[in-house]
Amino acid sequence: MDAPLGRCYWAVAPFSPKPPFRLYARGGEPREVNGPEPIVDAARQGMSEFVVLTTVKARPVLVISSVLPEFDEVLALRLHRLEKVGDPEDQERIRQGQDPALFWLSPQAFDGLPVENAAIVSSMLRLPMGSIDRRRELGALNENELRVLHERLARAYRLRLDMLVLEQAQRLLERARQP
Amino acid sequence: MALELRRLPGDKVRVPDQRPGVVTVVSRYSSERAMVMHPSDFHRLEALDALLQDAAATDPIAFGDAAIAAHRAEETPGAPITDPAKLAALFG
Repeated sequence: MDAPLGRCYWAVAPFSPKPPFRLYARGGEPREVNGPEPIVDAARQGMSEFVVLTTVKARPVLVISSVLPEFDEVLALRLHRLEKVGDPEDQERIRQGQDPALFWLSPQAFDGLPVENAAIVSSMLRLPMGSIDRRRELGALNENELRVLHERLARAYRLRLDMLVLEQAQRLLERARQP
Repeated sequence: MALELRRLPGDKVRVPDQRPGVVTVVSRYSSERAMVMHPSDFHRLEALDALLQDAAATDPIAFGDAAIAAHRAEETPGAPITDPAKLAALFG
């Protein structure tokens, strides 16, 4: 499995902009807009791009895709410290893989992380490679763990995979028929 | 995903007689334009399609309280550094 797939790194990750949007105004205070509608209305007048002030955070992320070379970006998940999960029983369920939405990262395999973490399956981010600090790898999943995580992602986002399943089944049948 | 059905009265079109197991390919300029098949064949294909969908369907994940809390906590900004002096000290 070639890096950065399945690896954890520090990265500069944005929070998704949400209303009220704080629009940068050159030389002045940011302008608050309470929803998407005024911005969409502005776009209808030919003005569709603005600078939204959004918070970014330096944080460890788990890269869950290969780099798309055409765009130099990856998909990644945010992490959550296990100590922040208050209930010890919930923590144990996560360690045992019984919470499908929180994927436990074993401290042995992720020894670059200062504390025990889980990847949040529902927190998918698209990150340019330029926002990932590749100086140090914090840990890595093995192939099987990545496979399980991808399955959970497909289930969490309810991705339709039936045509892929059909294609794969056809390929397997063709292979089985070959002498 | 069931196919959308468009119904036409039989007296509005001229359809060749179909028997089960035979598909009539309507072509134009060597391109396939339409396939005419016996209703029993169509319903069999629809049933197979439904079977495939069921076989490939994935159970959605149930988000428990811990997962929901984790998602919300990590999606909520804290107190970002905006003090110009601190920013200058950090980044020059």
